[in-house]
Amino acid sequence: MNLLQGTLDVLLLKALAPGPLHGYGVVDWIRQVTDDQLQIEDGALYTALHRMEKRGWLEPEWGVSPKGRRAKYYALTREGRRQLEVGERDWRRYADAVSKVFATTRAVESPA
Amino acid sequence: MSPTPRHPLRRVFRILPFRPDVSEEVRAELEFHFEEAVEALVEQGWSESEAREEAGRRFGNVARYRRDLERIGKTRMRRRRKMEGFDVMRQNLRSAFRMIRRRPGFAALVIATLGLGIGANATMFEVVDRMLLRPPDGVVAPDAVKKVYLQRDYGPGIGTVFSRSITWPDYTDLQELPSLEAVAAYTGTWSLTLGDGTSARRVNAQLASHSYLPLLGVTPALGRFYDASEDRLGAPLVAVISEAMWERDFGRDPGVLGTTLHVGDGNWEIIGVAPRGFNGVELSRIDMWLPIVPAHTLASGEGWMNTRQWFFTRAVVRLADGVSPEVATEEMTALNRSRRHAWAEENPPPGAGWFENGEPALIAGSVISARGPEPGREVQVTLWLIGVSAIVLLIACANVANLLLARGVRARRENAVRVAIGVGAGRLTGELLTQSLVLAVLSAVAALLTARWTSALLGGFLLPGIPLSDGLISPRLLAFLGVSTVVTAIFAGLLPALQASSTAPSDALRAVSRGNSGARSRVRGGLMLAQTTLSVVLLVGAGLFVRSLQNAGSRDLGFDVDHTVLLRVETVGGTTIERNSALMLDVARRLDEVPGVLHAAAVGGSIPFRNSNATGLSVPGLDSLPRLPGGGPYFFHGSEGFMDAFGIEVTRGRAMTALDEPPGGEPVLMVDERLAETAWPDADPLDQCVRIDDEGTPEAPAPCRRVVGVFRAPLRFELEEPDASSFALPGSIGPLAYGAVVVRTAGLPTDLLPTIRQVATSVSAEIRFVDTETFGSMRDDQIGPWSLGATMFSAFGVLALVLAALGLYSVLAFTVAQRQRELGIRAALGASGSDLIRMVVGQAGSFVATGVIIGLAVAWVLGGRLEDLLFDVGARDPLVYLAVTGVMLLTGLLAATIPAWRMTRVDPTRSISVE
Repeated sequence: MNLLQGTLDVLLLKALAPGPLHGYGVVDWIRQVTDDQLQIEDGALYTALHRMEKRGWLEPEWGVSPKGRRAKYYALTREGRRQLEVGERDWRRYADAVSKVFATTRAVESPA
Repeated sequence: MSPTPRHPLRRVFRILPFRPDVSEEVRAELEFHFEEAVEALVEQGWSESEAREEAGRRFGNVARYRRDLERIGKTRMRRRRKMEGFDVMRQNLRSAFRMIRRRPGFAALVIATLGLGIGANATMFEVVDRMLLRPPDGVVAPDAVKKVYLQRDYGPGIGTVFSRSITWPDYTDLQELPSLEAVAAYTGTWSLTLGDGTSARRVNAQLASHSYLPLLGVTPALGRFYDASEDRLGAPLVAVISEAMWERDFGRDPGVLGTTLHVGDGNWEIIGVAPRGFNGVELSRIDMWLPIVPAHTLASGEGWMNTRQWFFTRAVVRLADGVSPEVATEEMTALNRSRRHAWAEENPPPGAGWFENGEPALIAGSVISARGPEPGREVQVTLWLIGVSAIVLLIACANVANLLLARGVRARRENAVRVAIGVGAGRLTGELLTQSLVLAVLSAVAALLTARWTSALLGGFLLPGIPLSDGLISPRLLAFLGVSTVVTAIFAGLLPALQASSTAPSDALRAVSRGNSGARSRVRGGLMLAQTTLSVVLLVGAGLFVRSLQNAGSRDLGFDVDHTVLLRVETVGGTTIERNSALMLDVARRLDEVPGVLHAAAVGGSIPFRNSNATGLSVPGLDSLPRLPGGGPYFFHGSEGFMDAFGIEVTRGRAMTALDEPPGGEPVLMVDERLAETAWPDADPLDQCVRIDDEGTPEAPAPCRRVVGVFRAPLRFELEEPDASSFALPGSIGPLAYGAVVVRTAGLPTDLLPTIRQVATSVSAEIRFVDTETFGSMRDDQIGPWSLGATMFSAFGVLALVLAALGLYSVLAFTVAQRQRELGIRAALGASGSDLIRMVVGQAGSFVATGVIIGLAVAWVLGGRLEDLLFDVGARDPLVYLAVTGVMLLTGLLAATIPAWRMTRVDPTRSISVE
């Protein structure tokens, strides 16, 4: 299954919306939520996380995981949160449009 | 407990923020990922090795992703560092400006101090740039262009002399040398009359060969330059004018070409305009260039072309590719010597003396005259002034460093707190350096504004008539200012910044209330001492130049230099020498009646500062007169009372009168004291007989002239010159025509000059132009170097003194403030007010005394090098040393007054209980 450009970012932002999380947690959450249907390499997710960090959407912080390991946690910045809203809205609008198309059948116009 | 002290410089480098390692971060993040992933899989029932494999599969190509992540991370770090840098800079700037707003008085003091220092240097830079650094404007490839300097040895007494004037054959010889790509002849500035009647005025012309402008690589802004066919005898007269003249007189009208100007004795057609800024290879302003052959012939006849005795032209050469100046010098010298020898054989009397004291040389020297083989005194004084202005800046820096240190002490607690809460020492250093940089930049702006008029002032002094800049701020000056501003900021700011940031928080927090800062006040004391020392050195220099100027200015020149004026009268073309002479006499008679004029007379022969004419004479009974080192005997002559018009003192006998004048008068003369001594060492010179060689013919010997008086001869050209003898004759006859008029005024002559010119011009329609020059101004030209030295050294010296006094004051005031508690205790223990005052004054005294001793020692060492530039005063003049000591001690006392007074107001109970 292919993802549209930018959609991956929105998914990752969504994963971080409730609060800071480390990379593995994000990857794992997405895999669980999508029932592993997306088939994206974990590395690609990390790449996307780092890009968003570079853009200033995410603020990283090193912390300690519940199991006592040193982990890099990502938190949404104000800009990240805005990007999530925009992305989510765009996606819904797009999905709405597409599903409307599938819900309707075109009336047949026979040639005169 | 205080942390171990680190080297202060380390702190500066700590300004760079700690840089986390990107690769390490990526590695740690991925390691965590795999640990978690494998663990999760194992929990789901995978075997350890399968789990590991599965995690790897899910992740993808680890090496590639790792590379991607590292690349992204590095870009991110770079960007963030830049942002942080900007951020820090902005904060530093903001805090610097906040400081200026909060303490405007302090900031103004610093800006004024540094502004004076930087301004002094900017001013000197403009002058030095024009005088010594920049080749003449508009010259292409100036490195290959050399001026020709004639070096001659005049034997003991005078020594080696470099001159720029050579003869026409000397110049044309050079055209034969293949090592010279081109040669050109040109003259110094000729002041010629432009126009006629009341609208006549003087212009500066330069006579130049047709090769001059092409050699320099100059192309005209308009029209063309003259060529070889126009630079020969009988050619139609053409001229090239400067761009400035084109603009000033013709409003840049392109129709100027073809216009004819009446300049000097000719009508010159303008055929071209030189490019903007071009002024030839000399510094003095040139309005127009005239082809040298027709122009010089028009002015002087044709005699100059074939003689090796008429030194009037200068030469400039362009070296061929790969030819060094040394090779050119060698070849020019060899050629010139062989031609001179050949010429001397053909012309025994005038040629013979040329090699008397050794062979001459022609030297290919710098195109910048000040860098030629014998730079003038002005140049040497200027070089000293560069050092002096740098010292002034150093003093200013030391002063500001001191002020900042004092402020640093007050801000110490604040800084300590900031260090304690984790503001890096590097940050603090950066902040303080930014502060001093901001102050320095503001000072530079202030300096630039003042330098606008100070350099105009100084330029008029050092390079009269030469525009230093065309009103714009040159990029060179800006670059200089930029560099000196940064250097100043570092000099003034580094020490205080290091001190502030090296504050160990715990120490500072504890000690600040007690004002314990031993090391700090040692540094401040050191700075203070340096300032005092440098000020003393400058003041000694100023004193020496002031004394030189006094000596040179008050020297008895043998005539009334302050009240005399020299008139040169230019007649319309075609007047004979006799008619000319008669006109001078008419002018003198008319001027004699002008109120305010004591006496006016027409003169010929020698004129102080301007002319020195010698002729042979013989005294019956003497084989020959002893030769004096200064040559001679020189002669003066003039209409009745001309000695009185000069203010020359008659020491014995009488002055000559109209009755003595030819024709009809008895042949008489006057001799000067020196001639009287040498001719009649044992007899009374009065009524002795003297024969003037030129008055005799092969048939009839010269008549006997009776000595009627003895006078004291005025100077010839220089304030200091070798001994010579002179005599004086009455009236004019034959070759002894009048060539000028001398006027002596009752008051200072300057105010009378317009009247004098007007009256003289109205005497006859034959008079085209009257030029007046006071002898005082001629003298001032000569004492220029000393007055330059005296003025500039004094200005800089006073500046230094004020700065040092300020520095001393701030140190003392600070000490008093710091020691209030101690002083309070002393007062409580019964020390009287005067004891306390004695303490402060004693401290000031020891500072100043040490500074004076070191400063005088430095001046003593440097003095030897200054000796040649002084006039009649030793470089270690005790009077100057004494005066400087006095001035410094007085200044120290003044600086100590206020702090001392404040001390007596110390209230023991308050100052002890303040903590």
